[in-house]
Parts: sequence; structure tokens; C-alpha cells
Amino acid sequence: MPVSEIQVPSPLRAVTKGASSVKALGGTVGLALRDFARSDGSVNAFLFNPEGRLRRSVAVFLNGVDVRNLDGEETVVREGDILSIVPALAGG
Amino acid sequence: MSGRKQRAAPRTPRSGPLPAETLPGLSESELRRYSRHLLLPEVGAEGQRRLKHGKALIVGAGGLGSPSSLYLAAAGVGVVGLVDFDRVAESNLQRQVLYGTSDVGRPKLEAAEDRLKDLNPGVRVVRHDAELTATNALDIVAQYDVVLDGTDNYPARYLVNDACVVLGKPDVFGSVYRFEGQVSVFHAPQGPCYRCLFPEPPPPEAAPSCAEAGVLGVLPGLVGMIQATEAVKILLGKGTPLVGRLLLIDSLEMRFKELTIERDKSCLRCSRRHRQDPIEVVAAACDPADSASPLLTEITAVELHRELAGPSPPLLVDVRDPAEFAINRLPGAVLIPLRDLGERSGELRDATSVVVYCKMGGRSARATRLLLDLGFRRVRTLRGGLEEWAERVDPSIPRY
Ligand SMILES: [Zn+2]
Repeated sequence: MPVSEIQVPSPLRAVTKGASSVKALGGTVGLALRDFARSDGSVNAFLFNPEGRLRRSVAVFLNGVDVRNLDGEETVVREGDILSIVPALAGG
Repeated sequence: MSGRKQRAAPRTPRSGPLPAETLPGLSESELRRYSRHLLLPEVGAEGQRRLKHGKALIVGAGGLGSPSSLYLAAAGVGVVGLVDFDRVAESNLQRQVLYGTSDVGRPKLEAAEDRLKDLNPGVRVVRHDAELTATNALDIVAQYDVVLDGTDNYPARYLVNDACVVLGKPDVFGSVYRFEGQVSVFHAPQGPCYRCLFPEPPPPEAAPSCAEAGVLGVLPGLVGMIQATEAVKILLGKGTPLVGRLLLIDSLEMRFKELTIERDKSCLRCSRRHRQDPIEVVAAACDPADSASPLLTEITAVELHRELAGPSPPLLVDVRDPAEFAINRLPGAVLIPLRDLGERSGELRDATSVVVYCKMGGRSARATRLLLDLGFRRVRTLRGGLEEWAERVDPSIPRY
């Protein structure tokens, strides 16, 4: 199964003990994100809505491309790919 | 924030750069003041006259609005409008460099005007002493050429975006959280709008940022100055704006990353079908009043005060960070930071009833949702958090 790198935004870094990226297992964007979400319930609630779909307040980029312009959660992930989680932040 | 709708005003026709002969001239003192601009071929006298003719609106005179308003005034932007209704608090001074210690307690816009006029008397400062609402947003935004979003909450950010899309104005967006910043220029239809990137704000249980979150003081300075840079470029009509690009700043790792963002053809705001829809306010993720989602049971500060004095007081759980707990807390409260709650929820098994609180009610709403999901039943969230407690029950507790 391919190992990808997930770049973790500030709001989720408490879960990764401050690490800015983590490794995840999974052959699609959805599977890799769920692998990361398994590490902590709060990650799951942050990324996915109660229906289990990726929240519309979070954008996910695969190697710099918004996965909504690819195949969304079904987008194939290859070894070494970089997934960036970008949440809507409102602080000012 | 007002929930009333307003009919969309007619869209301002998009015009090219104004012909140079219609621009205001520069006085001798202006030639001296702006000499370092005049030496740049990309600015020159004509560019400086464009800045003098330019009108920039800064929504939110806080951490982002402080540096951007200072630099826009210094650069000689003719009109700098500010929207804010707050007063200067001591805890603002760590990042809101527009204000000094002697300004604490003053209305922000009054202090801001004094500072900006001192920096550059040639600039007209327009004060909009109000909260941006669906009712006033179009009228205010319509008076300006460019808008800088320096707000600190989701409803205001969506309002700024929506008003800018309706009026065809560039929305120079900046936001910060802890050590991380985001900057972009949303300018539909040339590029995506904020809703193309984030169609919806997060619900309270997934909201990463409330006013209560910490932020490295320098970070909004960095982000606000990038916003000011973009606004100046837009007024000059020079360079490549940050349209269709999202700049991510990780100040802890000191990494800048740029992501390409695209227009969503079916965007509920900037697509051709929806561009003129009336604007309305989205639900506030951190607005205490919004925690009233049907699945969550709330308790008010006054009710909690009564129950704590009664025969079976609830167990109080503080879900903030230890640093916040050290500043203030309710008597007898147990500290379980939100991030540890899943793991430590077992500690609450024996309590007959639990009341969860945080600073303003956002995190406690998330915590309550989590506990309900874990099977706890008698869990309630303190509406408005400690802020509400200080307002209604005990004004003597330290505020931060
Ligand atoms: Zn859009």
C-alpha cells in the first residue's frame, strides 16, 4: 500500500505532537486521510462531516492540486505523494 | 450580526486604469514624502497619483488591520476606510501595533485615526464604527476600490467575500491561527472567490479558530503586510496579484507554500447564476448563540450559578489549554484540554451530570458533541463560556 505524506495544519498539530507532517497509508486520498483520522477522534470530526464526507470547510491538495479538480476522495495516491490539508482559518 | 438580507446593488462596471490626466497632482511636500516611491519606475509620479486617488477599505482594525492600515497610510493611499466597533484592550497590544498603551479603553477607530493622521496627514481616514452586516456591507464596500479582509470570524469573512463578488471588487484576504497564516486575493470572475475554496464555514465542533485561540504576535504583522503589498499593487495596476493562488505561511517552520486555487464553476456566490444573489450571513462557528444546535444542550451562566449552589452540583470540566486554566477557572473545575478529552473521558463516567466550559463556548460545544458521541447523556455546554460567566455572574474573574 502506498505511503504518502500528509501536511498537517496548525489546528491538528496537537494530535501530531507538533509535527508538521505525518505518513499515511492508503491508495486514495480518502483512504490516506482516514488513516490519519484514525490517530484521533478529533481529526475525524475536523475532516469529515457526520455523513462521512470531507467537510466543505476543508480543502485538500494532492501535490499542490485541489483534489476537487481531480477525483475528490477517490483520487489515486502514489508512494511519496504529498497531501496538504488546508482548513478555513478565521483569525485576524 | 444582522441576519437581514439586502438586495444586490447593481454591479459597478469594471473600468480599466484611469487616464493619467484625471488623477490628482502631487504637492511639493508630497514629492518629498514619496521620493522613494517616485524613484521606482513601477510607481513614479503617475503611480503615486494613482495611490492618492485610491480608496482602500480595511475590515477589522485588529492584528491584520494594524500593519495594513499603517502601510497604506504611509504609502499615500488617498482614502483609508476602517470598519470596527471594538475598543482597544490590553491583550490587543501584543500584535495590534496600531495602538499604544495609552489607547487602552478607547474606541479602536478613534485611536487608529489619530495614529494614521499623525503618520500621514494627507490621507483621509474614514471611520465605519459598526459591525459589517448583510444590511450595510454593500453600501460600505461600494465606496472603495480594494478591500482588505482583516476580520476575525467566519461570518464576517463570508460577508466581505460576498459583497466583493457582488460589486466586482478585489478582496485581499488574510487570516491567521496560532503560527499559521493564509493570504490570497479573491477577485471573481478573474479568479476564484473565498467560497470557491471554502464553500461553507466549519460547524462549531470542527472550527479551528475562535477569538480565543492563541496567535504569535508577529504573524498577523507578516500577513497584514502582505495584504497591504497586494492592495498597493492593485491600486498601482502593477505586478502579478495573488489571484488564484493561496499563500500558506508556517511561521514555526518558516516555510511559505503557494497552492493554485481555481474557480468553482458551480460556486454558490461567484458563478454567473449566483453572482447577484442577495447576500446573507452564514452561521458563526464561534458565536456563542450558534451553539444552540438541536443536539447540544446548553446551560446559561446564571442557571449554572444556581445549580452549583444546589443539592447536586454538576461536575465542571474545563476544556481549555493549561495556560488558559492558569489565568482563570471556575471553582472545583477539572481541567481536561479538548485534545485529551477522548482519551480521558473515562474520568467522567461516575459524574451524574457534567457541564463543559471554555472561554467563549466554541470548544465546549465541540467537547459536548464528542462526549455525546461517546455515549454520555447528561452533558451540557456553558453558553458563552467564561466570558458570559464574567458578564452575568462574577465580573471579578481575570479576563484575557
Ligand atoms: Zn466562488
